[in-house]
Amino acid sequence: MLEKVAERVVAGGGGREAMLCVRGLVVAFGQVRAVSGVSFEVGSGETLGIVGESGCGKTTLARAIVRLIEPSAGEVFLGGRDVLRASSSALLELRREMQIVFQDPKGSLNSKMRVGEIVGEPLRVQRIGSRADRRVKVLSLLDRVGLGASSYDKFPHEFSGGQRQRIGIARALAPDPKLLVLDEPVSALDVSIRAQVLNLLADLRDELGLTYVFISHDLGVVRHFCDRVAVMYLGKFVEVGAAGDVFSFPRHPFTRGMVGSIPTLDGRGRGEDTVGLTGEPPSPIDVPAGCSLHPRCPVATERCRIDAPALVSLDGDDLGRIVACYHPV
Amino acid sequence: MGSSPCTSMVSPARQLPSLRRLLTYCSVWLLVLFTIIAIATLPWTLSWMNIQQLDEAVRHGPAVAPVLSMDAMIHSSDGPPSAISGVLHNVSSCMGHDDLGRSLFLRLLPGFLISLGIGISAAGIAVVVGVLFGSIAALAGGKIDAAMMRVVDVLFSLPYVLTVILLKVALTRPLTALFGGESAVANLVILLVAISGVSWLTMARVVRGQVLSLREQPFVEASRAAGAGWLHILRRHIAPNLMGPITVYAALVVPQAIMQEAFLSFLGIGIQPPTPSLGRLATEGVEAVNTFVSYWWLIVFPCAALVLTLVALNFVGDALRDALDPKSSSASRTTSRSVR
Repeated sequence: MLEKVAERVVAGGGGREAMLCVRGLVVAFGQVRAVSGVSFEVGSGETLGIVGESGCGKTTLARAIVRLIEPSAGEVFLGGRDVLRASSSALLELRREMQIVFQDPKGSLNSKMRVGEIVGEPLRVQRIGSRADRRVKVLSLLDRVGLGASSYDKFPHEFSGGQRQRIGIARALAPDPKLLVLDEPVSALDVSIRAQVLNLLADLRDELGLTYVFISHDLGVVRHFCDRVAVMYLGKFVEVGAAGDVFSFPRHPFTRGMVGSIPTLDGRGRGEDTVGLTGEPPSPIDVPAGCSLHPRCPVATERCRIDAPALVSLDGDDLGRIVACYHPV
Repeated sequence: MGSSPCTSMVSPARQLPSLRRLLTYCSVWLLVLFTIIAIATLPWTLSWMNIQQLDEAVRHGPAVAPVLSMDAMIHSSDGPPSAISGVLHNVSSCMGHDDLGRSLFLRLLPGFLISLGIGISAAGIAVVVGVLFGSIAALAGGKIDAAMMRVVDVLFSLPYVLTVILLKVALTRPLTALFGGESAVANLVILLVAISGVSWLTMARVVRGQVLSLREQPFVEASRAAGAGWLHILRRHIAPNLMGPITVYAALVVPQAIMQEAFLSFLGIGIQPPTPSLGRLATEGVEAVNTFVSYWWLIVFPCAALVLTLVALNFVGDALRDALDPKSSSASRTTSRSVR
């Protein structure tokens, strides 16, 4: 039966073969449901951006996809293979194909290890190649991310933030993965260095045919870097669609509020008719019934307070946009 | 700073290996410490006498072994008396003798070594027991962790001196029998148990906290994402990052243990006469001071030796922390220095 599900999933994905398929993923920490029922597919070679306010569950979702935390429910398929039910040996093999890049370029590198060891660690753990092979591979990876061979024997603290993030990217690339989960890879970097790292990621995507799940709260970066974008609110996707579309013509009130909050050079909001969101996001311990946005939503009605809307494609939208709202704009 | 983002912006001080950094932080106090140790081991390095002779001289003095005065010892050694021997003879004369006629200088040397030995062995025991206990608690987690840490809490809350006295009462006889009637050895063991029995508790807490926080570090997550097993993570990530805090804490346990030894010996429940230790010698000094005749040297020199040792060890420990602690070696320290 599982194979059947996997087959169906592979067949989907908008014509392209789905590299990653997530079905009904729930991650609960006690009372708190950080991710509550998220489903999506990412086609091979595609970049899916996930945006949302802080605390909406983006990072938890990223960590659950690569099984750094065990989800409470749901399914994750990587290239048709079940990640969450994989045995430890199968998981070890799956881990070669999915890697993660972390937000904090300082904490994600062990300060006691040399760069060569750090980048070569996945190879070592996966028992790929001999010691000499691994050295050659690590040197080529360092070269690929724009660090010289001299960095092989240096320690992480000898590098700047951007360079450290390059080391993290080189490590993630070491086992030749197909899927890279990028958890806010440039948020901790200086604005001047962000573009360099993003360009590197874009080049790698084109050269190696990588599939990205790109998590960020920087809407501008997501718009330019991603093919599709999913907007997340309190552990759920509220709108998914092509990146340009979603930002130019947001349909969900939350997306509209979010896009409207992007500051522009002439001081006006993007779109004059934007109705802003009010208030703070509610505590994830006490999520409102019905549509979780309704206390902050300007167009909420009685129905929104009772029933939670599902993600559905809208009338007259053939671009693959899905929105979870009864009153889409 | 005007350098481009592609060149690493690092001042040379941060690239120094930690040993050399340690020397830059506390070379003076390391020198003091090594000088004291060198002086304390002079009876052996100058081959004045064998262990038995020294033991006689230190414990019984001229009353029992009249031949072994300082003069006799220096002149009875194999070679001709060296300049150092002459100087030491004068030092010994200046430091005076105790009420039994034993050279205070000659008693201070092994006294210091015994105190230092107790400090180092207590630190060693604290490291072994504390690291094992703390890391097992942190890695086991849940109820096992809670139970193990409650044990630590209970041991912490015991009244220290009372526990030591009870230990002494309970253990002196069986241990003396165990070591073939050597009550001095039995005393030493009890003292070690008492001192390290307290210092491993803090070590266990430190290690547990470190392991718990290291386990959640992103670099450990990255390692797990690469497929690393827990043994690999323990060996490659957690152990190397634990070395710094363990070394620092162990270095600070040594002076603490010496202080406790002195305190317990002062109360009369530590090292027993005639074996000397810094605390024991200070006690004897206090006993020798009275309103009529003041044998001041018997209290001044042991206390000075004790203070100097403790200060040196504490400074070395602090410098170790500065040299090994990743936080203090981070940008703030180097920038503040490069600004200067």
